[in-house]
Amino acid sequence: MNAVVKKSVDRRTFLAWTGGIGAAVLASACSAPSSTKASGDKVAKSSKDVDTVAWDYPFTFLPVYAGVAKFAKERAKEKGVSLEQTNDNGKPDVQASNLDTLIAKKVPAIVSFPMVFEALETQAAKALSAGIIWVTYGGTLENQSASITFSFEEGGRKLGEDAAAWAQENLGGKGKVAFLVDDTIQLGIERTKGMIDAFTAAAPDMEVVGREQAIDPDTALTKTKAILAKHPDVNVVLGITDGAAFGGYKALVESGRSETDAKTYVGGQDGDLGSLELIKKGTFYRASAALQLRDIGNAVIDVPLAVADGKSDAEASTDVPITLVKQGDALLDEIIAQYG
Amino acid sequence: MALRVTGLRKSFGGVHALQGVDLTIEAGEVHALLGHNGAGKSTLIKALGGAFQPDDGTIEVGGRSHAGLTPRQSIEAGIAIIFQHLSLVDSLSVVDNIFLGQEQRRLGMVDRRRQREAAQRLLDRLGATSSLDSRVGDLPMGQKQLVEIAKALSRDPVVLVLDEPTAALSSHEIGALERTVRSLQEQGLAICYVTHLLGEVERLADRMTVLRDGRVHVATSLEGKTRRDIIEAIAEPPTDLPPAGPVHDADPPQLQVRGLAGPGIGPVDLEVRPGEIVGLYGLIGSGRTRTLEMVFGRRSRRGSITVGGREVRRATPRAALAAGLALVPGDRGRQGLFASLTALDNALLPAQGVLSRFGLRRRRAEAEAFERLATSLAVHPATPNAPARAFSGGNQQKLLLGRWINGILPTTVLLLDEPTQGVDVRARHEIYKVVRTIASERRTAVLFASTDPEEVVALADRALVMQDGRVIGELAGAALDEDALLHAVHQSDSDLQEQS
Amino acid sequence: MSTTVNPRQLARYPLIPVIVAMAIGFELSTGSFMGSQNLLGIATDSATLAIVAVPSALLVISGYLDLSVGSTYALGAVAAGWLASEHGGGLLTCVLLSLLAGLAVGAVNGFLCCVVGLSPFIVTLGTLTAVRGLAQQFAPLPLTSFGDSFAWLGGAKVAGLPSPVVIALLVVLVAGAILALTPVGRHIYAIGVSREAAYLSGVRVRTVPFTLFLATGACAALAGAIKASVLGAVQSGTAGSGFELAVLTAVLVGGVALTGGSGTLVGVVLGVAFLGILQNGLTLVGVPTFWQQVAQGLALVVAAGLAYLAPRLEALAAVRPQAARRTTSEPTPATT
Repeated sequence: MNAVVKKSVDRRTFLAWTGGIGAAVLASACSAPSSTKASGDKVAKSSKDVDTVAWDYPFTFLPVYAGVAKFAKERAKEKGVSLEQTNDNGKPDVQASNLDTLIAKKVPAIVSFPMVFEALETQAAKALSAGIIWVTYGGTLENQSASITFSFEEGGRKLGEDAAAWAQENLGGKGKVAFLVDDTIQLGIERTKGMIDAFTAAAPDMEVVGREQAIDPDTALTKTKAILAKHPDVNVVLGITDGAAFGGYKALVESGRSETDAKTYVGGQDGDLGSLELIKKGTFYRASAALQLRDIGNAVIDVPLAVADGKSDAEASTDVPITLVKQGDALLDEIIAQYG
Repeated sequence: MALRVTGLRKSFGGVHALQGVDLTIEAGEVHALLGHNGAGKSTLIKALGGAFQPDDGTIEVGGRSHAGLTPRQSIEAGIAIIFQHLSLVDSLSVVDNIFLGQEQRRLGMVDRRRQREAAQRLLDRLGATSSLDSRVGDLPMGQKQLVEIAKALSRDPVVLVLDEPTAALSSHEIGALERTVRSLQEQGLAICYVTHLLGEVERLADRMTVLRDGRVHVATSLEGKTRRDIIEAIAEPPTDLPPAGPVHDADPPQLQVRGLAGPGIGPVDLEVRPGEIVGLYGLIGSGRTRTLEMVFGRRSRRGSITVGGREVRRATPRAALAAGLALVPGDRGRQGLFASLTALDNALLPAQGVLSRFGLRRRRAEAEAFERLATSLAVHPATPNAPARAFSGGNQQKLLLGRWINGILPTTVLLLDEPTQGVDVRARHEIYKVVRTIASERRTAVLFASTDPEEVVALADRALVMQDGRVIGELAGAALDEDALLHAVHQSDSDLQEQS
Repeated sequence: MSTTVNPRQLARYPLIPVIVAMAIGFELSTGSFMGSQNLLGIATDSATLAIVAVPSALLVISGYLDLSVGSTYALGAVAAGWLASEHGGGLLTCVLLSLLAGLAVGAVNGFLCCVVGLSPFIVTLGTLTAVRGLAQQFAPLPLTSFGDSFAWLGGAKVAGLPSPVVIALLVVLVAGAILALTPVGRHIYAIGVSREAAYLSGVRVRTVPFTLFLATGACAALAGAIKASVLGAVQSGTAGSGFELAVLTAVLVGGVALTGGSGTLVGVVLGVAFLGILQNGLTLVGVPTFWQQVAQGLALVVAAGLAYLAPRLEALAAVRPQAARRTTSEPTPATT
C-alpha cells in the first residue's frame, strides 16, 4: 500500500527543496578553509595542487552509496586529499544547483554522477573552463576531463543471461519469471533493459508473470506477494537492485518456499552484504551482479588525481567491471570481506 | 420612496428571526429602527446588506424590486451600511481606505489626484476634520466612523443604514455625528438609524419602526409624539424575572479582586458577594472583556484574585476552574462553542471527567445530567446528539451556561461576557431567569460584562462603570438606571476632553 | 445504532461500497484476489500502515499533523535492526530501543508544536528530513542477520493471525476505546474544533496533543521495527520513504478532516484497507508501472469525491427514514 504514494523519487521531490538548500549551505560552510586555499584562479598543474575532490552522488538513499563512500574516504586519506560530498536528494535540479555551487567556489576536482547525462553538459563545460577537473561517473559526457564507467546495462545482462541459463538447465526452459524493475531513473532503465532483454532472448519459453516497479525490499515484498497470490509457482525473480531481490526472496520464503528450493532462482544487482550472505549460505538467492565497491571508491580519488598529473581522458579514464558473483566464487568472499 | 421592504421572512434552523417585516423609508427621512436585542434588527440589516437570501418577501431600492441580494448587488442597488465594527484597514491612509476596492483609474493607473479631490469633497460634506493622509488606525473613533461613512457615500448610495452609531462615541462626537446625519438628510438621503437611545430618537428621527420577536410591533410617525409615547411603544410586557436574592453585607466576598492590572487595564479592585450579580458596564474598548479574561486567567495579570477566601495564584483557566471560577466568553463562535460537536459534549465537556469512573465515561450519568440541564435551562430542542451549530443563538448560550452550572462542577463565581449577544428575546429572558435563579438559590456570585445599559439595569444588583481599563463609578439600587449609566460614561469622557 | 448495514451508515462511510466494488472487480479479473492467502497478505502489509495511521488520525483530529512518521519509521527500524544484528539483541530490548527512538522524535515534535507553538507542518517537515539523516548516518549500510528472537516480532502467529495484524488490531482497539469511552477522547475532538474554547473549558490543550505526538512517534518506530523483522533487513535510506504521505492519504481518504475536529477510526481503518487493496489488486492484474500510478491517483480522486458527497448523502439518508417518524423536534442544520 505504501506504493500509492511511495515512489522514493516522489518523496524526494517533496523534500528536495529544503534538503537541497540545507546541503548546499552545509557543503559551503564545512569546507570553507579548503576552498579559500583552492581559490584564486589557480589551475591544478599536478596532483599536489588537488587538495579536495568533490564527489557528487545523487542517490544517497541507495546502500551502494555508503559502500563506495567508505572506500573513497579511505583512499582520500591515503592520498592526503579531502573528500567533499553533496546531498542531491535524488533530484536533478538540486544536483545542478549543488554543482553550480561547487564550481562557483572552485573546488579543484569534481566527480559527478549525472542523474540525467545530457542535462549536465553545461555544468561540465563551465567547470572545465574554470580550470576545474571534471570526472563523469557512471557514463561519459562531451565535456569532461575523464570518466569512471561501469555498464549498468551489462550488469543487468549478465544477471539475465545467468538466470536464463539456469532456467534452461533446471526447468527445461519452461516456468514463470517475475521482474522487479525501475523505470524512473536512467541507470535503472538501463539495468532493467539489460536484464529483461538478455533473459527473454535466452529463455524465450519462460512465461513473464510480473514486471513491477520496486527498488527497495519493502516495496518488493509487497509486490512479490501480490504476484505470488496469482502465481504461487513463480520460479525466477530478478531484481533491479539487491534490495528488491531481497524483498522478493522474503516473499517466496514467507509463502512457504524452502530456502534451498532447487526449482527457484532469485538474483539481484549491486552486491549488498545481506544478499551476498544468502548466496554464500547456498539458498535459492543464487547470484548478484556486484559492483566492486573498493575499485569504484579508489577510482573516485585516483582518476581526478591522474588528470591533474597530466593524463589524457583516454589514459586517466577507468572502466570498472561488473562481475556476477555466485556461490563458490572467490570474489564473493572478497567482497564480503570488504564490508567488514 | 427610497427603500421599501415588504413581507420579509427569514428563519435559521427553525428559529424565525424575521416573520414578515415591512419597512418603508422616504428620501430625506431619518427612520429610527428600534427593538431589544434579538428582536430582529440586525437580521433585517444583514438582509439589506446581502449577507443571506431571505426566505420570502421583497426589498425595493430606488424603484427596483429584489427577492434577495448578494453583498455586491446590495452596494450596486444603493444600500450603504455602517456597522458598529467598521470595515476599515487601520494601516492604510484615509484616502486609500475610502477608495479601497474601487480605485479611480486613468489609463490603468490609479488616478491619485482625482481620488484626493473626491475624498476631500466627501470629508467636507461630512464635516470631518481628519487629513487625507492620516493613518486610519491613529484616528479617534468618531473620525474613523466618518471615514467609513465617506467610503459609503463615495458609492453614491440611496439608503444609509447606521447600526448603533453612537455606541462607541464620546458625547462630543455624538453631537458631531448628529449634525452630520441631519445634513445628509437635507441632501436627500434616506437614513435608517438603529439605536436604543431614546434621546437620539427624539432629536433625529421623523418616523420609527419598533421590531419585537421578528415582527413589526409599531410603525409610526414621530410627529407630536412625546417621550412617554416612545417608551410605551418600545416597552416589553412586564417580565416575570425572579426577584434578586438577598445579598448580605456580612458575607465575605466570594470573588475579591485586588490591584488587577495588565496591558491597558487597571488597577481594578472589585468584590462580588455570594448571590450577588454585578454588572461591568462600559463602551466598546473600555476593557470589560479583558478584565474578565484576566480574572479567569486567560491573560497574564498582576494583582490578586481570591475566590472564597483562597487566592488563585496561577493565571490559567485550569487554575481558575479548579478554584470555582467559570467564564462564558463573549465571542461564542470562537471561544465558547464547539460547533460540530453534539449538544451534550458542549454542555458537559468539563463535567465528563468528574462523572467518569476508572477513567471511563458513564454515558447514562451524562445523559441524565444533560436531561436535567436541558429542563432547568429550557434548552430547545432537548436533543443531546444534535450538533451545537444546529441550535439557535439563545440555546447555544444556554448550553454554554450549562457547561458550568450543571450541579456537577463546583462553580461559585460565574463570569459572563455579553451574556445575551445574538440571542432572541425569549431566550434572553430565560437566560436572565437562569442567572437570577442560580444567584439567589445557589448563592453563586455573578460578574457580567455588557455594553447594553438595559441589560445591566435588568440583571445587575450593582453596576460598575468601566472606562479606559478602570472602574470609574458604581451604581446600585434606585440610582441604577439607564440614564445614570449613560451619563456616567459620557459625562466623564467630556470632562476629560475639557481638561485636556 | 442498528447492527445491519443501513443506508445512513453506508453514506457515512462511502469507502465501503468502493472497497466492495474493487474487491469484486479484482476477483473477477484475476480469480485470485479473494484467496485467504492473498487477503491475509494484504492485511499483513497494511498492518504497519494502520499502526501509524491510527495515532496520526487522532493527532489530525486534534488539529495537528505529523509528517515525520516516514523517517521515524526508518529510525525505529534502524534502532531495532542495529541492536539485533550488531549486538544480538532480543525481541524485548530491540522493541524497547525502537520505541525509545520513536518517543524521542515524538517529544521533539510535541515540544515544538504544542509547547512552543510552532506550525506542525513546518516542524515535522523539518524532522522528516533530519531524522532520515540521523537514521542514514547511524546505519549507512543495510542491516541484516537479526536472529530468531527479533524475527518473532513480525513473523509469529497469534490465534492464526500474523503478529503485525494482531498488533495493528490492538492499536485500533486502544485508540477506539480512548476516543469512544474516555473524556480525553472528547477532548481530542474539542481541541480540534476550537482550541481556544477547549482551553477556556479547562482542557489540557498542550498535554493532550503532546501525548498524541509521543504516541505517533512510538507507533511509527514500532511499525518500522515490525517491518524490519518481517523483512529481516533494514535499508536506512529507503525504509519508510514516502510513508508519511501514505499515512496522510489513509487518514484523509478515511474521512478525517485536515482542519481537525472530525473523523472516525472506522473511516481510517477503511482508508488503510482501501490503499492496501488498491495496491495489491493493481499488481495482481499486472498493470504497468506508470498506469498503476495513474490508476492510484484517479482512485484517490474518486475517494475524495465520495468523501465530499458523503455528508450530503448522509443528510439525504437521514431525512427519508425519519420523516415518517419525527415531525418538528429534530433541529435542521442551520445554514449560517
